[in-house]
Amino acid sequence: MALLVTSRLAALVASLFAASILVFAVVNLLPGDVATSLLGVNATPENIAILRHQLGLDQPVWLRYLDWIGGLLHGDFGTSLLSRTPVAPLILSKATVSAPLALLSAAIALAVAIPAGVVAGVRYRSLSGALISALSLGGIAIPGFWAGLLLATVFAVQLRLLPAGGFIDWSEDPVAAFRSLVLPATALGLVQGAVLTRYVRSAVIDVQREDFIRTARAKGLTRWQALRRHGFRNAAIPVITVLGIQLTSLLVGAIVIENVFFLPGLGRLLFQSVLNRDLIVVEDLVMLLTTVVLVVNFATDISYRLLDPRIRSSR
Amino acid sequence: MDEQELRRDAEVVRQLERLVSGRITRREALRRLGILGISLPAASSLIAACTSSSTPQVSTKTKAIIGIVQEPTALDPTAAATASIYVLLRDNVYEGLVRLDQNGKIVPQLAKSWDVSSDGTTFTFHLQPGVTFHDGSSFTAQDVKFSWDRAKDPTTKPVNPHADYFQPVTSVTVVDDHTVKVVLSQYSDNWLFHMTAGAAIIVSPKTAATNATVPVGTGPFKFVTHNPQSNLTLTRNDSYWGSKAKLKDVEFRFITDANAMNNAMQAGDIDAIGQVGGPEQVQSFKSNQNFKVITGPPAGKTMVSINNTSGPLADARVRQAIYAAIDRKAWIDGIVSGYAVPIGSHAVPNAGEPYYVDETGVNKFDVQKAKQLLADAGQTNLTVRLAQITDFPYAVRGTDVLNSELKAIGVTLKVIPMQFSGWLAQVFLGSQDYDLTIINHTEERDIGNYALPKYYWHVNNPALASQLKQADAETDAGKRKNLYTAIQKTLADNAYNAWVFAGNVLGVTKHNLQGYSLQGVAPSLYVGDLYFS
Repeated sequence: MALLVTSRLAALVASLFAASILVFAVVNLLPGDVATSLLGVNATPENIAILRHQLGLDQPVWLRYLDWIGGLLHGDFGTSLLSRTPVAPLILSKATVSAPLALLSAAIALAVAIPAGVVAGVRYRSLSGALISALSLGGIAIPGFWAGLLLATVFAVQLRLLPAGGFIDWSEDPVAAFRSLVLPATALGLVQGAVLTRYVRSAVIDVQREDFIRTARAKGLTRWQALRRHGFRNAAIPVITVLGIQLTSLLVGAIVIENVFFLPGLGRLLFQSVLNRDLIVVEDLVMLLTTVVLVVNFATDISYRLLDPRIRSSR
Repeated sequence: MDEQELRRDAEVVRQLERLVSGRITRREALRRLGILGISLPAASSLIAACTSSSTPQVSTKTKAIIGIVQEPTALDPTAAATASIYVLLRDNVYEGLVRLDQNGKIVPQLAKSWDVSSDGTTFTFHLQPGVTFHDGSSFTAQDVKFSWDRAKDPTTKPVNPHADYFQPVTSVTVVDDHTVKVVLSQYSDNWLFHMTAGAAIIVSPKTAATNATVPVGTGPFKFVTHNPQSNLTLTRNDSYWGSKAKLKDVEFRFITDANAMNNAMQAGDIDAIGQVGGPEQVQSFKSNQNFKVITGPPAGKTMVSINNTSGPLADARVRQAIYAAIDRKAWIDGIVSGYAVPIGSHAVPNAGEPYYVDETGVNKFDVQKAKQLLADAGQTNLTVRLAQITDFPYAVRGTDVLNSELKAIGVTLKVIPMQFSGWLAQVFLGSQDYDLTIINHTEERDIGNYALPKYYWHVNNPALASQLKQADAETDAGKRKNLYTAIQKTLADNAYNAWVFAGNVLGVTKHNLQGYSLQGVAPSLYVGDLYFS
């Protein structure tokens, strides 16, 4: 196990390094730069050249890459060329919106998907199973922003129970901060939950066809007992994989919902920074997310082994 | 009175308060009072008593929240061109020597008066005494020299996005603490107008370097906080030198999505929509008496820009054909729900451009004429490229309209989508390799760009260029107007571009928010006059 963790960690570091080169290269291929964004439509080419020099944008790409990666290794995320503010606190403040939002939606998704998926999987031949299955298909078909608009119209505009959007900082009023996340997290969680329900359902159906379940039934266990003792643990593996992917995509993929509820999250920061060619923010953010994805993958990988002794011993 | 009655009366008062504060309509109040057992006549007279005062009473509410679509990228208008920087901060936090009033007139701000020499080249400004910056330092002629020298010279940080405004300036001299003299190389009619812009603000040398994050000016509001992607808050400057702001606090809340903005307004989270993203957005507020829809003057030139040196487009007949294929009414109805006026040259009918003349008759919508012009030019199966800016809804919608209009005259449109930053780098600067592009030129009095052959339209007309120069240097208003009239005619005759419409600035406020104006043509959203009734 220790060997495995070490080798996986080495792979993680190598992937991060490769990703940093890729991220930097791709981001720098975008046409336009922050100097043109800053000076707008009345700037002369001479003034743009002067500004580019002041900002260090006229330096060769490899030098800028070394500058950036060197800074990152020292924990220095740099300063936004656009807003002239340090990037680290900027990302941190957005993460205090996006991370709780992602976790809350994942929790809602799980709360919906596990019971619904298990029932649909166990009773997949009966009417109730088919009904849940159809409902989840409907849920997948609903775009997140539409669910968000609907929730906002009903709970904010009509009933005035929750704010229509915006975010009050945790330090200012934790209750209000939580309240402003309820609707967006519900919108995200329901849609993600519908997707997850499909995976839980098919995992449960698959596992019921396994030999060990048949053996367990032959020993005299009921279907539920067999599933509880032997089935769910096995069914969990594909579900955890999907959940890991969903969680990371929720971090920055919530941009549509962030727009609907005008939340100051990571998705909008990334989008705005790309539009304005504030490249250092884009690079830092993508690198951070890559790290999160790789770490989550690493964690899922390890959790497989804890869940399934067969994978553990195969290595 | 028993307890139940007491409670009922308290509830009646609560509903009446709701009515007065604008949270419910009169009809809703009548209904609710009815539920509480108050007869209709009694309820009507109660309501009348609460709301009858003819002069709007000043409410105790001291904070306004205004929804804003475009967020400032930084907070220093001398360092970045983003419109929202000066829209939100000029005249509120920052001030200049002069400002534009509602009617487009240049009026005193930090300069209480000024004299112009008879040849129009020397401006002597007499400054307001007793003015202090928010950082505590006092405002003197030295600060004017510091600010304008810094704006003119691109090698001092930051590079001013409007260094061009300072191009006519030869020198800025301090005469005494409260007098400053500016010498121009020649009279420029536009120069003083441009000094009302965000790029010409007066900054404090002590704090100028940090204005991008902590703006410091002399204005009626002081900066409090900026939470990117969330909000920007201002508080009243109680030691302001001029007439003080009516509200204590103002918050600008950044909401990019049109539906989200409408929801926030309907839910009562914000008191005003600073400027709507699309005119269709105001429809739901028009019929609701809790809200006021405010229509500002037409501003900005929405146009199909043409590369005048790109292949067949170098032929004036081809440009005229494309222009004749454009039905301005279809654009105005389809893109801005009718909230615009048609234009036919590079000027808009508002007070900011006093030389405007209507040239829409020159290139009229006429499909037959367009086809004839193409035939005369010997063009068959013409294909033109359109650089489409995907960030702007009007450009995306305009593409669809233009596509079908060009198809009707047998011209194929090849759409090349790009982001605005990419557009700036490829179309506006860089290779400038494009045929057509749909863009809204929002800057006032930018007709002078037709004198620059390297500007992205590639208009190279020396006679026109010298006429433009002559017009700006003309001190006589009548002669100047004649020159600009001729210039607008030349532009239209040559169809250098296809100018389509000037859209009205639109906003929505709660019915009890007073003093909100879209500021005529001023570059700022001044919030010092806001109050609740």
